[in-house]
Amino acid sequence: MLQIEHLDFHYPGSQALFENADLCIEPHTFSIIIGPNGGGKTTLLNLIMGFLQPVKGKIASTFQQLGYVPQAHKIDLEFPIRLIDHVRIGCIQKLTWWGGFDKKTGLFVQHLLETLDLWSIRDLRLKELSGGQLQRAQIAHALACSPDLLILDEPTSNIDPKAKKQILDILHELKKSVAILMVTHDLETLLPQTDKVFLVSNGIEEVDKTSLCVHTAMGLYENRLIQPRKE
Amino acid sequence: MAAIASFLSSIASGIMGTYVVIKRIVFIAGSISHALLGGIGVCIYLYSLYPSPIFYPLNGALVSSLLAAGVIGWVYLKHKDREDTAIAAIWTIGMSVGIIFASITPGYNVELMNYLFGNILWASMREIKLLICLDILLLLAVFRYRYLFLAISYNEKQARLNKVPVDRLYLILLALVAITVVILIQAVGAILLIAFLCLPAAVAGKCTKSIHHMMAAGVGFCTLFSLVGILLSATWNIPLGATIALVCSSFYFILLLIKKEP
Repeated sequence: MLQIEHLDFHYPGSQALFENADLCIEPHTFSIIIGPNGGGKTTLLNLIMGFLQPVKGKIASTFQQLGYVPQAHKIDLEFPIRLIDHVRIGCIQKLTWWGGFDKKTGLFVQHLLETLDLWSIRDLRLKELSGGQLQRAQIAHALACSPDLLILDEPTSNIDPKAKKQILDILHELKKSVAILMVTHDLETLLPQTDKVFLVSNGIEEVDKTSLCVHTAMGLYENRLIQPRKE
Repeated sequence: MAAIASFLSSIASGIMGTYVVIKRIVFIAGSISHALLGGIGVCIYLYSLYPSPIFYPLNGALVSSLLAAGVIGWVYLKHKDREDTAIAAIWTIGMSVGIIFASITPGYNVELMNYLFGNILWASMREIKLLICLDILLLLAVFRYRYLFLAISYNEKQARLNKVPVDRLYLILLALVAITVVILIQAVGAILLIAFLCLPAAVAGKCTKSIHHMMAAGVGFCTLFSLVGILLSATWNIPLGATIALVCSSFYFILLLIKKEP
């Protein structure tokens, strides 16, 4: 379980982004984070992953290993790495004393790539992959460390509907074995399979999923997403 | 002897040049390559006073380049926002110390000029032996850390999540770059070293899919460029280090023109 209690955070010289904020993620749940650009979604992920420290409050986690899928535009496509090596470095904790991987890890990587339908293109460079393949490659990399909490930052943005559906199906399957926390703007597509929805907009607010469905259908929610909420 | 020295330098350049290019630490390598002139200048001065093997210029180069790598690494880890300023400061401090000590050393200093502009034809048997030892050290280190270096070069954030000791590995990588710079300084000299370290690896990166292939191709391109440089330098009687650097740059720009990105 991940428990955030009374979190305060601000960047040096800036206004408070979070004040007395709370959040709880349980194992084997699918939670999504929504909110306007600049509302603090990526900052919240960085706090959860330990790359930023809270000014006040507590972030406690019983999750042993986190997997992270960054936004697609943050991936260096010019980096000379084959898909299979990209997944292998996700298993870096399983390195042997001589700096390589044993047969068991090799089979695990193969299984992961086959499950995500990437085995046949394992020798391609990242820049040779389509948008959907690249996102599945990122998920494979994140899953290679056998995480119990998988954090995804807008994994379905800028990909075609077919690839989007494929990724959502994968995440739906993954929910059985890992907790998922995902930043997204695809509210309507994801809502049916989501357990919790958090609105991050200069604060963290857990939103009632049922009322959200109604609001989304009426188009009212969009107005709230466009402007950061002022307390 | 020159061909052997070229090949030994190419092994170091092809392998570590790959990391310098993919980790985007070209200017750090440039700073280290100029910082080691300080150590060389001090050693040349001390050797003129006390002619002991301890004060061989390459020893001074090794110490000062490792020191520069350590300081840059510390600034990167503790004060990342000031990294570029620190790189520039170390770059100029090294050169200044080298120039000052060379100027107070009695007589005309042909040795410092060789380290500044490089002359692989000048490599002695003692230096060949040192090159072999340093190459073996580099190969062993890179073989042991190949996936770890790949992980920190690709994405530090994800590597940290996977509990990779990113800071320690970054310092080891910089130390290896420092050793490589010492190996290469005889071939092309401090001023032109960056071209020999980065451009063959960059050319290799355009033609290969994986980092290991990039390293192998980098060694091949380095050897080719140095042999072409030696040939042209001997034919037209022009400075060798500058010729090798120009050959590297020419191949790189030709490749940029003819190679279309997918």
